[in-house]
Amino acid sequence: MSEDRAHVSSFTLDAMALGALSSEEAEQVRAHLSNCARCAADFEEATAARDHFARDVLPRTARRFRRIEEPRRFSLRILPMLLAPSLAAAVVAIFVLPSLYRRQDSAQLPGQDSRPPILGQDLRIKGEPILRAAARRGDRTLVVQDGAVLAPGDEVHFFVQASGFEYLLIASVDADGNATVYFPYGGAQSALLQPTEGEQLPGSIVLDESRGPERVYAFFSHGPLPSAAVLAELRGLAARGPTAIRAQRTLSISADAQSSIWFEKRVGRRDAGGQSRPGE
Amino acid sequence: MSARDLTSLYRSYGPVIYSRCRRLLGDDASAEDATQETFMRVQRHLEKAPDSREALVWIYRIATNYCLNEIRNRRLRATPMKEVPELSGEQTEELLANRDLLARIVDRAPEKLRMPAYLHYVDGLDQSEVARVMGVSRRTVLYRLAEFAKNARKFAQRTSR
Repeated sequence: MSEDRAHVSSFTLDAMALGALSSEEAEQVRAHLSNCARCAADFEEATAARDHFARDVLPRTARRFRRIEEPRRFSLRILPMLLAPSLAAAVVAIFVLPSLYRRQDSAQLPGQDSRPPILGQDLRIKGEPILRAAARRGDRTLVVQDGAVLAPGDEVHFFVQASGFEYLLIASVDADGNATVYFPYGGAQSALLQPTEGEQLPGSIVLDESRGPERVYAFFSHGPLPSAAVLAELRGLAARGPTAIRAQRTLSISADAQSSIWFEKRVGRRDAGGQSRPGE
Repeated sequence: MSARDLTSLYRSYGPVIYSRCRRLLGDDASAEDATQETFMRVQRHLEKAPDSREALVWIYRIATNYCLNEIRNRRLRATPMKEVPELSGEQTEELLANRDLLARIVDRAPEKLRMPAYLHYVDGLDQSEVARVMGVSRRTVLYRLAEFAKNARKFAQRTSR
């Protein structure tokens, strides 16, 4: 908040949109917005303008500033010998099923964004970039689709088809308001990767005891995205409640493409093997 | 700051700068042009760019400067502005509290007063924020705002050409 003003300045609102405020400052601003019609209107107008730019202007104009350079690259390799047979089967299922769906004109891939292809991009691999997930529970492996019910202790692995985008950032938000960057883990911006079909990302996440929905977003881009802006958007989404997390498939982030999945975390009965089974 | 950073600056800050230009200039097409021009200027002076922490402030300054000049150029070449009402001395405080009115007269002020006046009275930035965006001391901002306030009535009475 301004030191000598009763309202929030446009500079502060813009800084918040970029995730450049501390969490305390952002909280103060949000509290003010909920009580001030004028500032709330200003914020809404600015948000609409940012959305319009990200959606309609950026794809057309970004190439003007793009320079071709030799990037640092590291490669994510599929290491099939380290995959348990059931997880390997899940990888096949994840990427075979979508290719079957593509033959249908109107099919919608589970969890895939329904926006038209990104304009103005020279994709080297056809098709939109996709985020997929598989969960390991004991000796079972599940393909995670939107709304899948998972349990604490489930180990979730992520797979991406980057479709020619060089940078990737994966972050999630849950109903408790926890926003986390999963890839690169805890990173300050997107990581550079070599796009290859069906990449399994290194590591996995083990679900904690919190309940409710968690949505995981993958942001694909030709340049690194700062995590701060993403985390700010995720916290804003969490503040709107579990229904918003279940419904919000994309965020107003200036990535070239997005893909997201959500799952429901529930604590259920323990089965005879001591494994937690989510309640219905 | 490297050349590769320009693309990432555009992606990261473009939405916010566009929104700012839209707010100053009032329409999508002008805002898009102003955003492009801002980042072209960023590109020309990339070697002078501060580190990422100050990048928002720096790009903000460039965008604001461009837009205020554009507003002034519009006024000089285009259709007459709405008439600014006559003001008595007692109404100066009212004038300084009226954002819409101020937006119409601020470009009639001398150049060195235009940006601080717009940022503070129209955009709602406090003095520290104005100082930060302009890259000057807070004392300088205070002096310029005081000078603007003192002469606001006179600026309001200037003709459009």
